[in-house]
Amino acid sequence: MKVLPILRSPVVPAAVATFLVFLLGVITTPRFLTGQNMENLTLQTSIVAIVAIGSGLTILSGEIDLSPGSQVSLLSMILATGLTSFGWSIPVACFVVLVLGAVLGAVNGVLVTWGRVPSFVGTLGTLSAFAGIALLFNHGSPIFGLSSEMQAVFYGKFLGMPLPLLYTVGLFLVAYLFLSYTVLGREIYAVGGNSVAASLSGLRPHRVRFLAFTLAGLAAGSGAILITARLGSGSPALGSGLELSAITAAVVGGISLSGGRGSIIGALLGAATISSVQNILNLNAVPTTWQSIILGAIIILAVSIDGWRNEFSLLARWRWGTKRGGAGTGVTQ
Amino acid sequence: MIDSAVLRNGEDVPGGSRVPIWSAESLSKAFPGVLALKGVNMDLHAGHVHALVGENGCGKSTLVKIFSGVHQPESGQILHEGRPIRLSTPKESRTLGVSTIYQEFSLIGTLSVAENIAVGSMPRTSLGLLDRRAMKEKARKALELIDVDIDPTRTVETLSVAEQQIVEIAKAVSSESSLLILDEPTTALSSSEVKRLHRLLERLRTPDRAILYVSHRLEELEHVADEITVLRNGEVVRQFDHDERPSVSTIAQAMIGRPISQFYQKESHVRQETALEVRHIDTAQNVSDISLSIRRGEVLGLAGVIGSGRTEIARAIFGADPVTAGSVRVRDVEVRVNSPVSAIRQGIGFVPENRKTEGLFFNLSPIFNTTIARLSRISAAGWLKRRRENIMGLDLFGQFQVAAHASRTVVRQLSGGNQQKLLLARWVFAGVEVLILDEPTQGIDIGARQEVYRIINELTRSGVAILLISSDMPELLAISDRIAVIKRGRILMISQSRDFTQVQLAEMMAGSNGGGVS
Repeated sequence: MKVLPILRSPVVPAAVATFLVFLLGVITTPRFLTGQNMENLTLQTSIVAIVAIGSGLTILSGEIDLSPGSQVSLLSMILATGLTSFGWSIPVACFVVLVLGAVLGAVNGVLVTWGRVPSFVGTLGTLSAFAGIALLFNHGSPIFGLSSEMQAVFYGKFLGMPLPLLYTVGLFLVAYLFLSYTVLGREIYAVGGNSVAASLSGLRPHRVRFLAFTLAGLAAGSGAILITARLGSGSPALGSGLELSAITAAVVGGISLSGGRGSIIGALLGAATISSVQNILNLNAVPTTWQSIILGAIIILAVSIDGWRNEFSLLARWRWGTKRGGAGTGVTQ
Repeated sequence: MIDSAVLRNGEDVPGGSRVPIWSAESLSKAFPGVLALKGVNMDLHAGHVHALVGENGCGKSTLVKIFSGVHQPESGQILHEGRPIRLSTPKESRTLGVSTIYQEFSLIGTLSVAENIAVGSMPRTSLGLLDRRAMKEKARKALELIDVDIDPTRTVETLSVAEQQIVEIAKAVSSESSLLILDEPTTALSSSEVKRLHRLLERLRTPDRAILYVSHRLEELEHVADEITVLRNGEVVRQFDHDERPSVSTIAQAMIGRPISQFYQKESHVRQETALEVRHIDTAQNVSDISLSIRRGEVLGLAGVIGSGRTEIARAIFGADPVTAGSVRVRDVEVRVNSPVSAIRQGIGFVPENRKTEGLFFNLSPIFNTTIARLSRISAAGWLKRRRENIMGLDLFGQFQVAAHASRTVVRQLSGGNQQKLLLARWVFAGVEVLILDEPTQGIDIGARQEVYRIINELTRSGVAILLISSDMPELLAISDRIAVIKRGRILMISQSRDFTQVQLAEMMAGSNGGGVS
């Protein structure tokens, strides 16, 4: 069967999921498709989406990062401390937070590569450690009283568009170009797809993974700036749970947990999907306890679909091989 | 039912019945791009050893997998004692009496021999706990049955390859089996171990059991086989019974369908200059004091049984395993090769034996797979020029005759032959001057094999030196200019390939030493 090339793109299932969730929103509540709610949804999506760029990069490289939530908390405290206690200007403070984000990511990278710690465990450790360090600031209390200029970083508009929308679109464009059109991006796919083959092809898997984690830290730094600006305060609990949303976004977006497969644009669609789900649940007054159960169910479902998809492609090869492979079999005859 | 095969010992095996205990009836099977079985008929008689032979990719393993319930035929059926039977899963096939011993063992290295033999049917005490004594007893009995002396408490990973195989056999016969399938059982064994295995087969050849013996070592068949079935391109082309006493060359010709000399198209392009020289290299992986040199345009074959150190020598030269002593010289200059990165920089490429796990990126595109070893050719300042990449990739696919649909799919969907050509294309794209090929024709069909030989000829014509590792001796003898015989990580001798006959080579590789079985 002929399929339009665009329909074979890896982001199609994620786009369909986003569409269906939107449909659900429109059906269940008239308040969903209003200008105000759409703007809220955009703001809500942006933070998850930007952190999910990092999750997408680490998952594509064949690893997983459980620590971005704690990174965001810690960086938020550093940002707020810098702005209030050290009197840093906003650009300087943001720059410092981005650099420190990369450093936190690099710590994960060092543990996973040089330290030979499986990333699931290594970043589970830093999940706890970074959250602990965040509590060392201001005796573990939130830091209030950030200037309104800082809030403008999040709530400002440019040409009528909310700034977070522009950041998100911009960062995803950069991430997409990076993964598709740079040598390092290509190497991330290769290492995630088959680390042994990558090494025997002259790549350095450790170096590639280290850089993927470092870039993920940069994404967490960006997320920390946005979330701090949004709340006008730094809090040591700000990012907790964000890792789950970010990883869910990436997986719902079709980025395979087995590594090396998927498109980063899927993570954006995934973030929009799960933010919409949360938004719809809020509008329909579903209690947060249930929201948490539903979010958990979504990630499990998404991973399960990913697992079955891998198997289905094998089954397809076995069972329906003759019909589908008809055009392709005449290799040598 | 008419028994067409003339049986060597229908009389002297008590109970040897005329109805075949297992048979395949016009079995057909197809995969996308992978070789199919076409109407295969084969009768297996109780008390007989039936040899199944054929080139790489002829459908042998597909047939084995249908018997062991891994694959389902698209048409045709399996008969057990004359009655049609469905083997829909490996477990079902096992319970119906088919025991298969694959080339890759299914043993768990960290467990003991006894635990491995009992896996799948662990004996329990009345409390439902593991009955260790019964388990050990069961293992001891299973080992006694085949008359071998291996301590059931030993951990499997401490055993030699030959011993592991015996454990595998013990495990297979510890359950009631009416069909024992051995898939290439001798590839990793020394000659005395092979003899031991053949004696063991005599014991296992009981009146209630048929043995299917899959091999590509033709010279050993006359000692073990009662009948021989030859597969080519998924079809049965000849069936011999023992009385015919077919010669090795008769069988070989049936396997490839034409005289051997026509099949292996070999051009010799050896030049004067040395491309690669290694001197006295050692590694921690069983490679000691290896010295060899390859000229430009030359094919140097490495002959040795599995585990002899052939692959380890290749990996050492490619920098994949650390070299602990000795030196490597490329174009008469001493170089440091301590990683694949540095090897590739020196113009050395490596096509590993296992395409799937070590060679290819299965879920990515063929072009991705082709350019990955030298992205610098299609990038500037870290940015990829994807148009240029596409043009160069498609150009190479044309040159290598990779199937046309290949550029639009992922590598997973391609046939083994196309996959192998992509790996060769990768190193041509990288512009290597020395290319190491580890089992380059394993698991690909005859047509694709000839393509590989053609590509080797083209490469040598352009001056590329090739280090060829192959278990297929006719291939190794025909394609190599010189052959180095490897045993236990050392080079026994290097000579022109025309100086060897297949039998001599086999004997040197296997040697006369005792090997591992105590």
